Amino acid sequence: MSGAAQPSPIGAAWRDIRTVTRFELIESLRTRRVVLSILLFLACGAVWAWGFARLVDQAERAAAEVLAAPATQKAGASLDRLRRTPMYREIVKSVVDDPEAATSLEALPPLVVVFAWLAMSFAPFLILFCSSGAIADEVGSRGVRYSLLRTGRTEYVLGKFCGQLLLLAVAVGLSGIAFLVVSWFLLVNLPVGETVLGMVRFWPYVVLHALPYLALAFLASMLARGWIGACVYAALGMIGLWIVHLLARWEWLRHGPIVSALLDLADYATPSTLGYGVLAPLGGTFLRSAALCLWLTALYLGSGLALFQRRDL
Amino acid sequence: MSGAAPEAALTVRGLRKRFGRFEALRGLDLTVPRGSIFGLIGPNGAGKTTTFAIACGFLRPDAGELTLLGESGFVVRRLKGRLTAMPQDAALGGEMRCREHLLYFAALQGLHGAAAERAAEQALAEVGLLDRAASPARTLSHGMMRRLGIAQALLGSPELVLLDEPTNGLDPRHAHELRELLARHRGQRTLIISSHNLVELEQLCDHVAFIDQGAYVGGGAVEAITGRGEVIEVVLGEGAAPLAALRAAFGEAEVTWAEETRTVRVRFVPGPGRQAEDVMSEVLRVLLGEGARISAARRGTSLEKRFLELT
Repeated sequence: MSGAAQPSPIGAAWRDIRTVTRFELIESLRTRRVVLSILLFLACGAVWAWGFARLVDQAERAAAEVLAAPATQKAGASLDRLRRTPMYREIVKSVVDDPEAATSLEALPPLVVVFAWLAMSFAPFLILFCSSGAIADEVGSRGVRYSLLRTGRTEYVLGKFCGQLLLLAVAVGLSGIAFLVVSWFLLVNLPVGETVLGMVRFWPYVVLHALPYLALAFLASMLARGWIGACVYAALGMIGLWIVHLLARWEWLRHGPIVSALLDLADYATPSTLGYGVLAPLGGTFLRSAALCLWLTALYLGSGLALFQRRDL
Repeated sequence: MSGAAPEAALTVRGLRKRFGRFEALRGLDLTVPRGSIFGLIGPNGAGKTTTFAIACGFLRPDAGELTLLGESGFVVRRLKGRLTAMPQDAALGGEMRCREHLLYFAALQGLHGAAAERAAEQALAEVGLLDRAASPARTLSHGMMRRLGIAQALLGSPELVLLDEPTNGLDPRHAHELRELLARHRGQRTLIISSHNLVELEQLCDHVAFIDQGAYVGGGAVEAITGRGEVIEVVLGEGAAPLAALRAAFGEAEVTWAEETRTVRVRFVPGPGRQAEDVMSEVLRVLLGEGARISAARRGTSLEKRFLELT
């Protein structure tokens, strides 16, 4: 040892978490599978922008045909007007399924809404491919043993979790940049400043919304021995919880107050119950959604840790 | 301390571990003296790797007590940097460079900045990997990977180092260099080495323990186990064995003859002026004087022979 004063147990744990986080982030960014997944997510951003531009272009051409007016060279001339129409409000409401969030989103450029919705919907897939192997890979190769001689299992898992969270934030950010650049090329009258600000504002919320999925992937990773096994566990977990969510909302099953309460409780253990409340303005809906995100993250990560602590490695 | 001797680096009492229907450890007892180079010897499946894995906290024992450097069981908070190990068949992440791996482990051991850099450089230099410090681990050969594993085990100033088959996969030169490296650590730290190479362990270790089917079957100081201080063995060539002359010259010593190996064994009680070297010289003098043809002479029985007798 260097002879410096020994840190407190919490200080030492925090230092270990940071060390593992840094190593995990660097190692992940050099791993072919992770880089490919991030590039795929980035490509998704570009494809979403292209798809959205195509949709706007077709709508504008159809409108021009009906009005017998000349079509514009580039799509997007009607976008600013679109967000003030009742039809757009209805679309947003049906997509986010949360009135408070929908009202907040109506005021933003449609591109921000489209990106936030798509990023939230697809982030679980990125997590499935990128993060499921974070621990399982090292358990499989027994490389985990080198680290666990020097730090606790909790610190190790939390460090890996933070590393993957940062990786997710980077991937969402890069995807947003790709989305914006392609949109800028394909659409006219793009309110760049407003769109960038909106995307930057929603960036942490998209990551917050993905937290429970990341925790679920980690739960799978702590149980498996290798990436494929962890991916399968995580996918089955996500599908299983989605089924629980559907069953919990099925009125036919709700026989009596006890069953209803149990179904409600079960629903609060599924990430599908999150909805898009984190996109609502800071207030009741947002806080409830954020708290639900954190609760689910703690539930999955805590369950995984409890099992991992007792696991033979 | 669980009744463990204060000078013991590792004490194991009644350790049991079962994997399904297979009982890997069946009440293993073991005491490793502090500062020794200790060999853990046993056939495949004897429980050596399981013992190491329990000592390092990777596996949970079903029963038994374990004391490590005075701590009851593996408590990472108290043992980080004091206990290190090279686990068998554990791979290091291929994308990170050798130096980065060591700096990461050093940071987890509580070393930072220049101290971590120094420790990493020193560990890489000790295993001859300094020129590959900037290479990603995936570009290393199997032998180099083993050496990197040993480097991480020697990082910093560990008090207890567990090495599971350290020379496995190393070429003869690097295996020899590793033995010399480990010998240089004698007295500075406790090394526990599991290996199938008994010649290697005989050269290197002060103490050994034989385990078989998950239980201790024998052990102690290598000097005592092999009888290096009290047995002389001489292999003779063709011709009559002058046993009578030997018995006459060494009245109190036990002189025996094994026809199939043509080996004369002289067991004596060492004392002042009667060390193994003195007796060896005298035995050879008598045999040569009687015209015997000598093929080989050694002190004591080989560790391999003792291992075969015990397991």
